[in-house]
Amino acid sequence: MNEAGRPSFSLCRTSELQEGERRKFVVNGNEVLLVKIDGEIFAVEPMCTHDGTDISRGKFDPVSGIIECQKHFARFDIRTGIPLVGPFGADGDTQPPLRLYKIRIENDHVHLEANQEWGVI
Amino acid sequence: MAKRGYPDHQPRIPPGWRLATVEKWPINTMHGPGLRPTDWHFKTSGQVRKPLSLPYDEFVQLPHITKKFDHHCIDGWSYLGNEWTGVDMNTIIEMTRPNEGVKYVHVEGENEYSATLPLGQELMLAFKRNGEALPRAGGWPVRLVAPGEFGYKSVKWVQEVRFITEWEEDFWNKKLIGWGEPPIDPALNPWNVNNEERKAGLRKLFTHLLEEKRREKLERMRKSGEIPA
Ligand code: FES
Repeated sequence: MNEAGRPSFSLCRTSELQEGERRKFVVNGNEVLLVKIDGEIFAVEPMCTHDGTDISRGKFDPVSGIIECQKHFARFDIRTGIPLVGPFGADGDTQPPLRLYKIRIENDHVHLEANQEWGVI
Repeated sequence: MAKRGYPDHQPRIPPGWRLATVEKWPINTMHGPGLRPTDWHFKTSGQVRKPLSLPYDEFVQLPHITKKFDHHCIDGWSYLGNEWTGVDMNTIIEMTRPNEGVKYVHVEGENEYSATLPLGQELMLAFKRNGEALPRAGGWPVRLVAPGEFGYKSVKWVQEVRFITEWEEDFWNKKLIGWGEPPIDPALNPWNVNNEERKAGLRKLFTHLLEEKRREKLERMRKSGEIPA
């Protein structure tokens, strides 16, 4: 539970995450990648929407927020999940975006909402 | 059935496709099944007068040809001018002698992967690419090359070619049916599918695949005790 009385999971303190740092959590089998860009924390599922590769260790540019899949080099904006380039120069628009998680920051803690758009965690 | 694909009736690259931008041959399915030369046999079955079962050494001794074909992945990239060496399906047809009325071949690979293709279409059972034996991830020992079709018809790790009289849904068609989508019409040349339709179709496909992957991952975690069953 978080303070708003909504079910959620506490992941870590906001201050634990350094600028540009990525950290992966697994909550009830859901993989969550937290990343801090310009002081703001984003949460995505680190699963490449091309072929399911775990991209949590993919090449990442904390300035532009772009993460690259190591398998066939799809690129995503980690803040929005939007694919920018698909595999081998194919249009990114054939690929679905990365899944974004709803999080809340409370008392210097990052909380992952239990109720996500696609279901309950 | 109308002849499909490059070079007679189609442009060399499907509309909206791009050339692969990496030097290396792109591989979507990385892991081969780990077949061993001693275990592998090339087999024909179904409506044939003489079913074949050939070990690797004999298979590569069959009359073979070397020819260039383009590869088009359904993902939207093409890789032009690969040189394939292998046995033409017509050679197999002559040897195995299909019965009257056979209209299709059902080419079976590993893990239930398969492709149904009309008899009479140019098909090669390739064992070399650009002069080298196929790597395991590339379909070793033998993969199908189906020019004019998208790559998903070019079955890797071919084990058996079944000759059939009626159309049988293959791997991807069965998947689509399972997802409540209409199967790919065998008479439809996918190169003609207009771009917007293709994009929407691919998005759907990727979304379905990701759902499956998530389910599999959860299953694995449950089995390993990482999360409660
Ligand atoms: S799996 Fe990520 S680009 Fe193919």
